[in-house]
Amino acid sequence: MSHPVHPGKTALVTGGASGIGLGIARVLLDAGLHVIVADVRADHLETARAALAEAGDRALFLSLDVGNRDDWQRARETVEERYGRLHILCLNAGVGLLGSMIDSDEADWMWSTIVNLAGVTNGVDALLPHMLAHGEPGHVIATSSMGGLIVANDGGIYSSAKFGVVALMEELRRALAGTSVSASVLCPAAVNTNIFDHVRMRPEAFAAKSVPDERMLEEAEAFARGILSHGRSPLEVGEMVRAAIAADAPYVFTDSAVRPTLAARYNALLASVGA
Amino acid sequence: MGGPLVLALGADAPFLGPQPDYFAAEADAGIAAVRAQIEAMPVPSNTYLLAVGTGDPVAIDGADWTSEVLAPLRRAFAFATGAARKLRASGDRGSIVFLLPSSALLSDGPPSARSVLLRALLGMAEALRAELGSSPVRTSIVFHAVGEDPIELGARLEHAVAERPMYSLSADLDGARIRGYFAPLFAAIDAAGAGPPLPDIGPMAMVYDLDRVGTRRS
Repeated sequence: MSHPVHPGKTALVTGGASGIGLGIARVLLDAGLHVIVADVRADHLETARAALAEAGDRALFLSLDVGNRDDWQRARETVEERYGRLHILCLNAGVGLLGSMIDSDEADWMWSTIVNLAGVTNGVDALLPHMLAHGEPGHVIATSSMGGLIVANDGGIYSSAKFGVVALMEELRRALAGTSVSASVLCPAAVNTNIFDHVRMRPEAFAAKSVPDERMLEEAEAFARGILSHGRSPLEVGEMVRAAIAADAPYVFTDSAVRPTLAARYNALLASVGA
Repeated sequence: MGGPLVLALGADAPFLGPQPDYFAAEADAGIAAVRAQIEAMPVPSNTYLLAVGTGDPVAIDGADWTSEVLAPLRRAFAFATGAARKLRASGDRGSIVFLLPSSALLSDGPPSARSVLLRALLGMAEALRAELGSSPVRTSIVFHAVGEDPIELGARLEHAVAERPMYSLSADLDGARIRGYFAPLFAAIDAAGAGPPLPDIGPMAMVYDLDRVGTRRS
């Protein structure tokens, strides 16, 4: 099966106006594709519009809440009316909600699960039938996380959704074998993004029951930024995604330094065989 | 001591005999309401069990994600965290057991939306064990195989409640299958190359340390 990373093809990237999504969008634009940069944040869309101005009309900026199925219907209509065919679907939007799962509430659960898991299933539902119907080579890639393969003690809600995303893309890849479309999953480790600035990005509908004071919030964000600023750049990750789509790789990781953590889970499972 | 309080997800959830109390709540009950209901129920055994069936192999392209995945996942989350809150507050030794089909770990049947639910439950269970690591409460994951002898499964469940290992694997989850699943993951990780060095953020993935998972080999 040939791949869809060619000039003139069309991609849609959710969470495309910042972080990893913006890195993917830029790399695909540089490869000559048309890219629909979809994001829920109007301010991020404006920033991305300026950052990607040199792509001209090959970049389209679209307001999309991945948890809203009506928005996805409109995205599909935009694809069909404007470009006719979608070839690459990057289901990247996510929120990095950390903290105790035991102490979390309905809003925490719903926000993380709707964005991180339903945001992916909604995209598959809305656009995979279109991609299969036109018959040209296509690829679906979803952004999970290393937290989709291993857990930490403060990321339970996040990991639950991200484990599901890994399974979804594995199952989708098997289901699509022999068709014109394939599927992969991206499991980033530290990448220089804003994913943990989640309190400020939280929509009213999923408002937290208690909000940390400004000083605590700034400290937590500064800590996360201090770690992530040492991570991969979103452009590097965008290039990894482009290469993975071209090679039809099932899994995309961003840092081999995470091997020991995955190996710990692997060894724990092997040690449990026959126990 | 009595039996466990059981939440059964799916009509084909393993039958655990007449002893357990089965938890029932309104299908659309909120997380807080489920937690409050658990808080009010006496469970002398301090044992809570999510029993999950294999389910129908609903194809990805025909799935109703809300009913197949999101609703049962939320229900399980409410039950498991409700149990964890109650046990943590009591300070007593307790167990939360996720009884999952082996396809939660390794799926090789027809591609199915059910696998998404099962894997998400697996992540939830592992994360709950990690979060409860310093408490006297443990979360265990007992995988069951299609057609597994109920007596053998019952014995593994008893062992899980008594010894509280992280995993109890069914016979179909052998080393070859586990190695086969992880091999492409490791190959892809190795292909990524090392990223920039990060500041020390402390030990990672401690929940998987062999001296914590509670296997007989550790």
